[in-house]
Amino acid sequence: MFKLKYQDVSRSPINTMHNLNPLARSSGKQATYGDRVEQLEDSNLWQKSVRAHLAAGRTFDVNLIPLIAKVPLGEIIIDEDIQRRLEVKHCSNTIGGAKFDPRYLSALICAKSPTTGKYISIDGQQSGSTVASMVHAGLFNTDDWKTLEYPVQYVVTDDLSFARKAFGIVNGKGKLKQSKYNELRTAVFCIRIDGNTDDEDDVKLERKVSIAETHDCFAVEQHSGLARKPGTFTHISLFMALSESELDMAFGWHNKYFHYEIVHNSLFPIFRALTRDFEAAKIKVTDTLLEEIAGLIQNLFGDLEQFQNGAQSAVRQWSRARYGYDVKWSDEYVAPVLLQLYKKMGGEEEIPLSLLERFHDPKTNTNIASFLDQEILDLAA
Amino acid sequence: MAHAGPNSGIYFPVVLNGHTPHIKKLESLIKTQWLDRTFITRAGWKTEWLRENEDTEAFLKDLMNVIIDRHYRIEIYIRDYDFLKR
Repeated sequence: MFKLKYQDVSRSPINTMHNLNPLARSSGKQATYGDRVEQLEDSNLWQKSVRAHLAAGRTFDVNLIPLIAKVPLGEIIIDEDIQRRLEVKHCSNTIGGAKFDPRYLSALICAKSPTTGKYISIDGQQSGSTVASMVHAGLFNTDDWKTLEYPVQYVVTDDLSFARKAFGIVNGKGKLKQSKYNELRTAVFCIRIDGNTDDEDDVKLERKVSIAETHDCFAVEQHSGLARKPGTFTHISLFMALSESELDMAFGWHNKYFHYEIVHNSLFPIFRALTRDFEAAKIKVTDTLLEEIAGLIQNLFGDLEQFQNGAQSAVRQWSRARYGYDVKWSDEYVAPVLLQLYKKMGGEEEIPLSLLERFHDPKTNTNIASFLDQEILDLAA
Repeated sequence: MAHAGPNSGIYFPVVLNGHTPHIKKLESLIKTQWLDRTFITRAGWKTEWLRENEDTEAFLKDLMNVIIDRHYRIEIYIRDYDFLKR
């Protein structure tokens, strides 16, 4: 008999996220470089870097800022010791389907030799090769790719070590990468603000975000002030990996039982297992099971964050007992530990054996849930 | 529950006791959802201090409301504990 009953928690009458949801509408904000200068000057970190340059007497020449030119593609050399090899699959995918648009192309980045005047491509050969080959195939309204003047951003140097470093910077080293949240925001705004539904991936992502919002759950950027508000989540990769029906079930559960909490990242692997493993075993996820799991979390841990902390500790104890060393934590442990604990607590709903027997040691007849903190296990006795 | 000591001008005289994960949950709530009500000092030892405009009675009342509303198994263990005399 399962005794850990879920008890209602009063719901706040006002959900401020309805007005603050950053994916609901454009912020309408614009900034100038003057605003950005002020912002940087306010930063101690920025001031520290500036002081270091001034103390060393270092200033910079504006003439060294990269220049822009239009250069015939036939005159540009690709240094194979600097650039990666041609990615045939990448180029083919770039023009595959109806997604290709010349306006998405970017300028090539080159080093221009001051002695020979030749342009050596540091970055962009995949784009340059794609355009040249498209012209060759008759896909552009011009005949000769060699004379096609293509935009090039360049610096004048014979120093190829500089070009090598520049390639590393352009391709990620030292460059601020776009966060998963920014990718999501771009996709959602293309649909919601621009009304552009050409990209099926964008449409699918926007639908997933809408499902979350239906259940008062909101994607927000990590480290933003909004990430402390109930119903918000920041683990965008985990969110994107679930199907629409899995998200509907996960956010529905969160909003019904833990509407007063931030969405914890373990929600996603739990509901991935609750749908995929149950479906494979042809077992229905019942409302009783969902409520009893909520009761278990509420009574024993308070929330999913504390449950995951307990599960991580149990995995550590279990792996030491079984293997003599610590196995690395991963989210694949979350659902088995939760459902094994559910059974230990007297849960009577049917659970797939693939989850109950995962990480089970037949010699000692123990599983990971057996290694949860004694304070928790005592409540099952 | 961390207290505010002599430097802050606020003294928090209450010790809470209860089910360990629920205590940790409450601590986590103060550090995330109630971050605006506290600040962290790194000099000496790292702990949370109540902001100057916070009132210990009001803060404790809000804590107890959360404990009751969310059914945490936590209770007041000592009401007049003097951290300065321990």
